[in-house]
Amino acid sequence: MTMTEFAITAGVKAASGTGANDVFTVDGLNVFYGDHHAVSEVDLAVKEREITAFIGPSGCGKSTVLRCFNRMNDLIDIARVEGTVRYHGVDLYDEAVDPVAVRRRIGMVFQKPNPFPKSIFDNVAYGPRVGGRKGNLDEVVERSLRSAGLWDEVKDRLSESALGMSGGQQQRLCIARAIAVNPDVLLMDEPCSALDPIATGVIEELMKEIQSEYTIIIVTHNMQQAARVSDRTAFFTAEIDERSGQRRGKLVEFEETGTIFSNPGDERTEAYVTGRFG
Amino acid sequence: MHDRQTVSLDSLRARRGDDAAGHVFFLLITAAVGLAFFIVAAVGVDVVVEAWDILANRLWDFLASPSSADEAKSGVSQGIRGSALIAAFVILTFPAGVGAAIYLEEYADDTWLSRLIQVTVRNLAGVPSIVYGLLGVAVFVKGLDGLTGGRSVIAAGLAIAVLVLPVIVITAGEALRAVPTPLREGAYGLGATQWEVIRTQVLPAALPGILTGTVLGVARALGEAAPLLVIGAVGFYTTGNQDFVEQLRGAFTALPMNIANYARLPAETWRGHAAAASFVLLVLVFLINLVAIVVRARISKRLGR
Amino acid sequence: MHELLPPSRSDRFRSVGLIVGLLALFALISALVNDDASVTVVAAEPSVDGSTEGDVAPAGPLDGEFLISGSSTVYPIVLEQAEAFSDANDGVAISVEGPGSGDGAQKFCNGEVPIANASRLYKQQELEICEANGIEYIELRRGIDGITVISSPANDRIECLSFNDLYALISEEASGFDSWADANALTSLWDGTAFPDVALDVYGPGEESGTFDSFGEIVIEGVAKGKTGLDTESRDFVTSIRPDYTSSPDDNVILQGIGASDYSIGWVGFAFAKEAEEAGAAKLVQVAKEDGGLCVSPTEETIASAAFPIARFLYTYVNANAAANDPAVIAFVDYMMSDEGLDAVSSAGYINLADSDQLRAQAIWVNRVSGPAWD
Repeated sequence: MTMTEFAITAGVKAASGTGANDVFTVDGLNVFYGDHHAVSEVDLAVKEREITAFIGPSGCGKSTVLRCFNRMNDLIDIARVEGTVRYHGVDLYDEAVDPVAVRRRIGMVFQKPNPFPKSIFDNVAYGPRVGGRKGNLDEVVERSLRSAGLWDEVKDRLSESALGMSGGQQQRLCIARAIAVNPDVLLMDEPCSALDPIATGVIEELMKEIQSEYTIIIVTHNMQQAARVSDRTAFFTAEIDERSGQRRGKLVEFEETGTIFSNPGDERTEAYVTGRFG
Repeated sequence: MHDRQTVSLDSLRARRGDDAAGHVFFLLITAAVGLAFFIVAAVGVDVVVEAWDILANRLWDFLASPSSADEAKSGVSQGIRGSALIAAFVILTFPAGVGAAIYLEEYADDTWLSRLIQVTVRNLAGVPSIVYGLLGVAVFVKGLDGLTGGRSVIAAGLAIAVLVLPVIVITAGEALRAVPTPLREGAYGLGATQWEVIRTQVLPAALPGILTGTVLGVARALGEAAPLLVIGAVGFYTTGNQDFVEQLRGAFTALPMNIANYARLPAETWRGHAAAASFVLLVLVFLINLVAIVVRARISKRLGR
Repeated sequence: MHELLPPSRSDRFRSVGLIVGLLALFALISALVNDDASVTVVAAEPSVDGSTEGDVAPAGPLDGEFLISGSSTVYPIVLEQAEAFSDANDGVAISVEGPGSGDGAQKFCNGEVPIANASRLYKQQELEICEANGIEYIELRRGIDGITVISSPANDRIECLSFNDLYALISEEASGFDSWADANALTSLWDGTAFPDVALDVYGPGEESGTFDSFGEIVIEGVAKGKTGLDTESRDFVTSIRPDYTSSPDDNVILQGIGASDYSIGWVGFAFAKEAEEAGAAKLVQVAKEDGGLCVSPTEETIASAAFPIARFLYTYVNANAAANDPAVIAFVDYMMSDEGLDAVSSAGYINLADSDQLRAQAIWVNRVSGPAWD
């Protein structure tokens, strides 16, 4: 654990030392689920304090790539990752790296709001507690809920079950929960796909507000959402492997969001963003 | 573009024969429920009617007296005691069963060995209880008689605990597997270690299921007669000068054995004793199930579901 | 400032505690409810225990423990005797079970129990186990059990059956007979009893039972060995019981079957049959040993006088070593063979031995005569 902490801290220093503001650099990333080659040869770099959007049709591997950034794929027995994912210069898949330490710095918000069956307070306090923080967590909880724009709505019912909240509130609670461990990066895996348009708008605003403090990567199905919130956009697509007949995700284009939507370099991107495909 | 359609009310009516199979199925399952309820009620009524004489006139005496050749004095206190001790042994195996389930579900890699163990556990749960009785004789009565004292309640408790263990492992495993993935991912995503995820999320969420399985196991343990017969539950015993440990290592009986013994005695007048002992066993099993339901409801409520 | 509530982590474990607590309570209550005085005696007066152990004085109250196993038929007798004995000797831990004569023999000859009951004499192979294990035994006859042929109370056509009739209905040669008239094919070979064409349902105890063995030996083998006057030279008779009857180790199940069919037939011990007859659940069929012989009803008198032809003696085997050295076992058998103890035989529904047999059994015990004593 200490060794990993050291490695990551060293990495941060090294990165800042070079003046580069890349949080993640991905080289030749390939992901396999058993025999299934799910994602092939992805190269990209994610910049600090930017919102990066991953878009593309279903099965294009965008969520799979996202889950490589906090080693969530480790939880799937048959998943295998090749290539390098560098976080501030440190290879996340180095043997010495502890995925638990990685996830404390790189938080995640999931597609479907997944609050724990506990009180609102305990949900937010969960991360700091498992991180070993003792004592009074009131301040952390309040700050996180404020950051997520939820404080005024829930401050009088912190001891009530989080499962009693609306879907949009639950998702903001999950964001607050992720923020509470004071991460560096937030990974958001289609965070609005289970929400109505109003709740979606609230979350999008929230993302803009916290962008000053966090690097955010968002996977979305919703192109307008990517256009509205993100600084850069990566377009993925799925190719059918001729021999196996399996879908294989592939990064087509990664540019500033404005470029992707107004002047894409690849015709597949253009077809997708103009709605002719996907 | 479609032409404008005329729609008659008749065309929207249910046609005869639509979903006939569904109606038949509904009737069948209603009949099945009715039959099941009728059988349970019939057994309950029959037991109470046969046992009424004792239940009405000397219930406490019946509960507090050991077996006797005298119909007016004979009771089931020793059987209750034996069954309670056996249940205690089953409770003691609870951590082992849950631990095994956690290991198999959460930690073990999906190798041929872990699959073999899973299959074996499932098969063990289906092994007839008499086999566990024979195992109990070989291992606990003969092999470990220094510890168990031979044909004792310790040997019986251990044999029945081993009998119930696979049931606990399987139901606990199923409860663990039923914990939703998003819950685990949410905790992992916040930097929880595997053990923290299990301790703070998975186990609490699985607890109602685990407890239900354990309670069903205890209820089954209370009703098992075959292993007790093989291990050597007796019909009558006195404890003489034995101290508590010697009693644990000495002769014992249990409620199912009381029932069997009363049922085998010649006089018709003993039928009431067999029924009353059955009644006591039924009430105990019912109470234990009730506790399970209450606990399950309380935990579920606390989890906000 | 809003007051943030403290988290409630341990709450969910309260429920586990609740269950464990309830079960502990259950155990505690049952321990209290249990009348075994020694539980409380040990707790309240530990010195009593200590002093008796330290004290070697032989005059102290009797101490010890033993298990009595064997025949389920004899179980009610022993239960009564053991209870009366332990009331008078509360220092002895005595236990009684009744798994069957054969199971009892196995435990006895393996030295697991000092006393075992049997509803028959031990078989040669059982005694060989005793011998192999160096177990010497004292064989005590202690009562008589009449095996009674029963039918449904609704049976108005069958009053009396001879051994030969029973052979024609229940022996292995009768396999597959599901009407009484089927047996006429066999009875026509001798006296020609003509049974009516009504359904024949046979119920009896299972092979593990001494009653099964005794019925087979006395009736079926009796016929096969020519004891009922049939010509066994020119025709082979079987010695076994038909396999296709409904068997149960529980006599009450047999009685239920008997009552369920008008022309059922079965056999059980006299005590069970008598209780069933009094309760209106069975009809006791008279039995004649030979065709045309005297039909005898099973009663205490006819069984004791051997007028009723299907009767068996009940035995108790006592380990000779225990009979010499174990004061608790000695005291118990002394009581069991006393006139007072023997009252249990009749109160349990069996028949006391004739006086001569009684005296002989008591003499065998008093003189500790080991080895086979009866035939």
